[in-house]
Amino acid sequence: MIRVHNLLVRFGEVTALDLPSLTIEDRERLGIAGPNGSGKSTLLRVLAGLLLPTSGTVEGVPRPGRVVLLHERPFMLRGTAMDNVAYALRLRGRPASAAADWLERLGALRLAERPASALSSGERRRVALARALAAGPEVLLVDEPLAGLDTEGLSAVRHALGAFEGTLVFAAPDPEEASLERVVRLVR
Amino acid sequence: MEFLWDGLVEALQLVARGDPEVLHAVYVSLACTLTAVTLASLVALPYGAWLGLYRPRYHRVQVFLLRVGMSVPTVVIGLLVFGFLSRAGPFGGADLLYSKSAIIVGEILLAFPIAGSLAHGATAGLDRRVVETALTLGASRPRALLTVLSEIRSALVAALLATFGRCITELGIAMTVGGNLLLSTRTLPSTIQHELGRGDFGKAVAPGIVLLVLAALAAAVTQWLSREARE
Repeated sequence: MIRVHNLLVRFGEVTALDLPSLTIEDRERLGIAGPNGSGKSTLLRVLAGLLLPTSGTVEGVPRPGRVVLLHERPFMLRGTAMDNVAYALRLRGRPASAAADWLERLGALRLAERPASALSSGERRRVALARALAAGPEVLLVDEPLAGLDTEGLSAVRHALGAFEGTLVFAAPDPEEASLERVVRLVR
Repeated sequence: MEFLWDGLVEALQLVARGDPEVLHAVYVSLACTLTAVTLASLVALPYGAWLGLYRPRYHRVQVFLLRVGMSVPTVVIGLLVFGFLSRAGPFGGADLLYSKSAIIVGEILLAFPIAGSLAHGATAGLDRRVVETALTLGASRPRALLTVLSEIRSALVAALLATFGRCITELGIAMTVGGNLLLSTRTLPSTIQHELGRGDFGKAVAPGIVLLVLAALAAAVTQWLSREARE
């Protein structure tokens, strides 16, 4: 269980996030809603351990690798789509040969040998989600994972997120995913 | 003009027939520079990248010191090394003065701030998502640093070539602690200096031609890497 208490993140004079409390149960599927600038991405970065809050506490978050953040605009490492997924597998000591399986689950196997730098934004999201899932997270934090996807991409990403068995935190301005159990709304 | 032309022709003949003094100067220059740049870069590149990425405490002071180090004249570095390696200096017993090892020590001091500062420049403006992606996928901090170094390897190779270019053309260290000994510590730039002092323009131009060829090779590699990085 993840517990957030009196979380405050400030960048200089700007308050990026002010969240009195939040509890996320194990294997819960939680939506984080809110307009642009309400602190959704900031909350995910804090939960991922990539950003230290100005004040407040976050308890129960697994170490990086067990909690994986899928950025709103995922960064692709050098090499092909397959290399990107293989990177996550190698970090976990798993055989890189499983990369093709993960790409197939996202309907992205045809992209396997394509340079990651040549992928469209929608293709990047699918490959990045395959890479995140290949890391074998207990907690998956996804930041607007459906933005800019075509019909095929939407279906593949929804299916992959629906099949994920760990804790899912799904941030979007207005998440209406049927698989979400609860939605917390952040205000600006 | 005839003087220049004759000098150039003589220089080309010396290079073409493999003049032993020129060849030995090429060997000394390459051996000292490659060793110094390799040893300095092994520490300076990760250090500069670490400064740029993780911005540790007092990183501004460290970056400032690197930049100061970049602009120290080579003859001052030579003086410093001379002080340490001379008979009366703290490492005088090692008997390294006027040897290739002394030139290497000096060139390491020259190369370190250049390579470190260029690596810092390559990482300081880097997209933070590179390191965040590596960390969130479970990479340790050293592993994330290696991932970043791999992502910016074209810039790092360019930094290495710039450092190489600065070291192989330096004169102050080679003269001060190398001693410019024929067929021993005489480098390409110190050969130019020596032969010009003797009034042998042709023999001075020959090592200059070799340096130009090496500079052209370094520029070609840098350009090729830039194109590869863009593609």
